[in-house]
Amino acid sequence: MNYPLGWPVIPGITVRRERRMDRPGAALVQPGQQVQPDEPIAHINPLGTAGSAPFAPARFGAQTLRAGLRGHVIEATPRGVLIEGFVAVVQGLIGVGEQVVGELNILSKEALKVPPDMIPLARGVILVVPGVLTRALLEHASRSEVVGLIASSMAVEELEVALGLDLTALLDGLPVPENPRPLPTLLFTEGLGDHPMASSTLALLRQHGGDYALLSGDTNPRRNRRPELLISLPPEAQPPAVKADPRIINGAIVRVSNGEYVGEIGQVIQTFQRPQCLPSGIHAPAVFVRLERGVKATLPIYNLERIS
Amino acid sequence: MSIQSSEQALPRHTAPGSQSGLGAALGVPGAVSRSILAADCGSIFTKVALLGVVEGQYRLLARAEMPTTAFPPYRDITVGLLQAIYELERITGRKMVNRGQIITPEQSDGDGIDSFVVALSAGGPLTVAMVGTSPGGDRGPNKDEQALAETAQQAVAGVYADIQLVKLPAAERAAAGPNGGPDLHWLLQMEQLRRLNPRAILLAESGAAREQGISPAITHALALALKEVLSEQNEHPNIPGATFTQATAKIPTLHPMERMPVIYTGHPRHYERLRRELGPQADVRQSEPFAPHNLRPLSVAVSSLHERQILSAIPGYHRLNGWMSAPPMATATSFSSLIRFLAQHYGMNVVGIDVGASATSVMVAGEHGEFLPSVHASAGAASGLGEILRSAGHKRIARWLTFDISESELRQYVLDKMIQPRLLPYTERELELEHALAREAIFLALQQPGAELGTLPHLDLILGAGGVLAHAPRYGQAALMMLDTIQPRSVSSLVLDTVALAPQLGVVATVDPVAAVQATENDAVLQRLGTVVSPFGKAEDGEPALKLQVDYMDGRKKTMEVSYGSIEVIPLAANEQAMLTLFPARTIDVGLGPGEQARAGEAIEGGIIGLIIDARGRPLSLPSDSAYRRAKLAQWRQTIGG
Repeated sequence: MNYPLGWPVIPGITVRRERRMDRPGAALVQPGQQVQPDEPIAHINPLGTAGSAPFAPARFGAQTLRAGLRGHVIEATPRGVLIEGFVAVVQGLIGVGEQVVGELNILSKEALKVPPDMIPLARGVILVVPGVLTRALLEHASRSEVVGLIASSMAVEELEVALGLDLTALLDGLPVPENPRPLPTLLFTEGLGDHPMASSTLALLRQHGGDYALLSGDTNPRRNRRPELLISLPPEAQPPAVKADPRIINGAIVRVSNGEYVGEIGQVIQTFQRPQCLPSGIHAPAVFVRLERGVKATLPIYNLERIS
Repeated sequence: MSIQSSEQALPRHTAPGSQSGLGAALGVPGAVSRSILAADCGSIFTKVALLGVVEGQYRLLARAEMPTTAFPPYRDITVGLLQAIYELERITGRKMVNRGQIITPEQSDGDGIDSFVVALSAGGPLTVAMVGTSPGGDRGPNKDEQALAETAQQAVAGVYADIQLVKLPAAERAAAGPNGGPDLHWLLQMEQLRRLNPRAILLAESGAAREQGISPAITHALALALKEVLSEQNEHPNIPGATFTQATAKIPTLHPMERMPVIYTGHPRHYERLRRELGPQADVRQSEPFAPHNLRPLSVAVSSLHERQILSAIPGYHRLNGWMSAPPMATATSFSSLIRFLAQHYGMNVVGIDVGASATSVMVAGEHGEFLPSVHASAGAASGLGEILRSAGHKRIARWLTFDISESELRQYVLDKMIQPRLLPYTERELELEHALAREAIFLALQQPGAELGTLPHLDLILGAGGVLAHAPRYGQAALMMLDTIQPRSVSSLVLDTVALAPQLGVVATVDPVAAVQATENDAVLQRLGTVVSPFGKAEDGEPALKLQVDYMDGRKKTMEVSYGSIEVIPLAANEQAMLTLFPARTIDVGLGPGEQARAGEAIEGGIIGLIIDARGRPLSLPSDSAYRRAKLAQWRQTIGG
């Protein structure tokens, strides 16, 4: 239920997404036109000619929007361009930042063992970190002008220091201080803290290394808006049709969201008609789950996320 | 200090369809319904309850709860509601839905229902931008504007609304940038305004300013700002994810179309000019001016806008509307109706607490018609935890815990729950954290403008509702949360809504007031936890505070001495009564003055917990030594069964 499209990872789905302009601009494409992910589709210059407001934050500078998606234009206005395309999707639990477009670069797990400063990073890419993001790596990526970062999770304190803000205020949509050093757009697949990336998520990301993708960090849990990575699939791609049913039912593959089994994956082997008592004493609708490591546990359905 | 039990006070002539009970109390005509389906669609969970007539009396037949589905992936509130109703069908064997439609009226074979009513809090609060109307947009609000904003906030204290004072930049800035575009200041201010995402504007002036009217400079700036905000709202309407749609979903328009409601409380002679100057993007509504002594006009205007702008914008609302027998009601309004009814009908001072996932309400109603509603629209036990952490802080939250917790662990817990608001406390540690945060949510609601428990001399009845209280595994945990926050003095009854029905009873009363009354009295919808005696005054910890004698109706007697700083529980079962005599220490008061002994004029009622003596002092002050404080917390919990 936490993922707007049903499951955190979907190998193929048709979506419509708007490439928004913060200020009115000029669309460079027409409805019906086919576009490629790296193709410019709009031009914005809210403060007039480039360099006319040297102290303005970068987001008020001249921008050329790229499509981010392979597909066709549905609508084009001075406020945005709506595109429909066939994509693989990775949704996160929390993210930060605007839409960005870039090529997916996948870091190896071995790369995480060396000091972050020594990892060569390319400018303008969306970097996949196959584990926990550290502040040092985030700052190195920022200095290297990486536009987006995808990681399993990050410690709350480190993220708040790096962003220079209170995450609770950000999630509540309150005004937050301007960060003098803009950071890449972030997506955390497993949330906050210290959690490994789910193997299915990492497998899909590895499959698409080098592909162009559209990343959004926009998160509003009250409205269930989540960060997402959309990887455009080639027209000839025919991934299996997926109906992402989020219900926790017999046979569903689930991931545990809290408690002693947090992060573990298992399969629902029995549903209970009546609420079950949790270790906290609360009675709640629950299911019996066989975890990957063989342990069986009674878990509340609200603390499970269906992943496939 | 005497209190009446509901058994004694409630007249027994409340037959279905009669004009007594809640109907008379609220002035609502009664109606005959053999069965009523009541739903409460909260931001996280949707609760449904089936009321039916059994042997001439309304009874709660069954209830069920399912996740609310207003937002993606379902984006239709009726999906979760139907799932909850299907669960009711499974429990009762009664069919209530056919081909996705509610079967109504009740059929001869027992299927279907006569009435369907809904209380809603799923859409969240209405954010109202109150525009500062004094000149000097680049400066902050002045004192008059701040005072007026505080009054406005007080006026909407009982509504799911949040009023924020904003100052608009001068209109010239919208064209002061290079090439005639906006300058940087304008862009930044508009970015902040878009982030606030107001769903209504309040234009109000105080005193002499009201005569002069709002200056054209302000209306010009507002007209320009509205264009910016409206285009944003059309791209992000109140249906989240609308710009993140799947191919099959309806595409939202990218063009500004919607009009922004503007509540104007200035002089009527300026209305036409204002309407003209603000242009087609503003839907200006004249309202009476509000003042500290006259808050109602603004309260009514904002409440009506909440229904129009927020409730009706909930995805699936229109399908839901087609099923309902009466207009939907905001959950806070429904809950406040119940509290007012209890106060008027039983002639008592009542406080109702409803800790929801994203909002917390404390409704105070007095026997003489006093009514002090207070809704904190952003502080709650799940999505609303961020507000609690920011406002209360680590230290205040941690003071309620029997274990040490670092600031980072607390932040992690709060953020995890904000990100995944359906998570249930899995361990006892998480449960204790949830209860600590709920206490601070109640305190925050009590700090809202206009919320003053002290207005009433004593509280006869304290009613706890909402998921955190209703689902507390032990009754003592719920009782302690209520006592720690409300801190009653003298003698009060503690009542818990264990079936999460109380917030729906106000809206049930709109179709059949008798059903609301009888459901309340017949089915332990409101579970009596016990009577609490709360002596107040100062003494040293451990010193004798109170002696008491309990004379049970069967002739047994019990005497007890209670030390200051402690809680004691004396057995007094739910159906038992006893006479109570209190002998306070010299500095301790039980409602008649320090040291004055008191004997209850009537028998007191027992409850699931019993007779609780809360001799911890008022205001409750927790020990500063953390080890001692934790020991005391554990001791109080053990005594009360928490």
